[in-house]
Amino acid sequence: MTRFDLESISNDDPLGAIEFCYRMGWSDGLPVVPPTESRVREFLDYVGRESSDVVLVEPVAGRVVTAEKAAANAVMAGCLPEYFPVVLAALTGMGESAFNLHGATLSTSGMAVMAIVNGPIARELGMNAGTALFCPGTRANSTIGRALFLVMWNCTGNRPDELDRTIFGHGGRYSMCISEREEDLPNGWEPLHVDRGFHKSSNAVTVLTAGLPISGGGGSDSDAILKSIVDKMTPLQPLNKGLLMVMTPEVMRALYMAGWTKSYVKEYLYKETGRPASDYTGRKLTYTAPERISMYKGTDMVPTLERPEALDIVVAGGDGGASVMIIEVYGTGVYSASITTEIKTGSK
Amino acid sequence: MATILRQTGLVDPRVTTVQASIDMATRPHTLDGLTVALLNNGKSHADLVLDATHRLLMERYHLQGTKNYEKGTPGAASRTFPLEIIEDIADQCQVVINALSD
Repeated sequence: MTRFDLESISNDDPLGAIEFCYRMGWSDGLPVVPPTESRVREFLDYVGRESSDVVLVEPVAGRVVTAEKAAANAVMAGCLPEYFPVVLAALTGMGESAFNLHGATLSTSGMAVMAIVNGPIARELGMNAGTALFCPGTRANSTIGRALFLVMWNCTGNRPDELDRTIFGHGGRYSMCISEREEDLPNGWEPLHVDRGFHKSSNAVTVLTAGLPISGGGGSDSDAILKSIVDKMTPLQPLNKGLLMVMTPEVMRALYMAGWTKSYVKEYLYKETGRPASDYTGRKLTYTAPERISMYKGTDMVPTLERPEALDIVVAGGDGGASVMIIEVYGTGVYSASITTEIKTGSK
Repeated sequence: MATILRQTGLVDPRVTTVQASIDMATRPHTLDGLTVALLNNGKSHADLVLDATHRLLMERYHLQGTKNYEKGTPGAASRTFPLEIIEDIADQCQVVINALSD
């Protein structure tokens, strides 16, 4: 067994440095790249930021995350410098009040921060948008998502010995970062960042606090596919203000060829998903306040979505299946909003 | 960089300090004559806890009175109290009881 102590750690001893990071409690449990001064400086120089630039302020304890801290954690996650603009933009989004960083990441609910990267940068960084979408194996996806968690772990108290009160959590906390198959989208079917008001050629990252994906879909034509999606959405808590559906290109094409636009799909699912008000009599809904459903009586249908636009749709995943993944946002999107932020790449 | 661990050449990735540390307020010897803020943080059943607490306080002390406060925002339980509520409590009350439950 090799013994390590402070004096033994140097750049000439990478294994020792990794073990040092473990001993300091900086790691998420997997080995990290030691955040050497020169590597952190390289990241800061790449984005043209000063060490002390404030990236986000944790709203409850008031912890300030600087560009230096963000860079150190991105280095540890295994990022390349060119990934760092994405990490910074994601952290900016996480600092928005509507994201509710404290509740969304420390609550008993156990959500994970998920990032969706749109724009040309996704392909430039070699991000995966296809087969094995949510799986390990692609450096940019894995390390960008991991960097976000490491910032929370090391900077904003997202650890059980500090502020985290998550009961179960899920594996998405290691990393949950995808991109969209924008090159497969037909005219009129826009990617997520365009839905959020950005130009198609711009780069943007959307962050949300995600529950475990619920797998659904199936069917050989648009009607069958949509009905199978309805079946998956109906058991969810009612009046969602934020819900994400990742659909494969095969689903999108089946819908598109049958004349469905993205907004028609949202409208249809808004109208067709829901449960009668009587289902909720005497039941405690964790996130939907009673007064929000009190207007619905007896057999009135309480929609799963508060409004059609509450559903975000992203086209991604492998070929060969009419599949969707439905992802709940913390507190049905009432407690935490998904935030899209432009990725600034010009200052390098 | 200010946070290099000198012995290692590594940048400390942690943020361990908070913006401000706040001393605990001095506790009163009695609640008699004081106004007590009953603070509902938005968790379900917090109202039941506060109602019961209010009943017991009224039985046992000669309070000046109580004032009820709620955050009133969606997802309130996981957000900080609005500053105006905190200021109102500081202005109107001498003691705060904060309840959360589930």
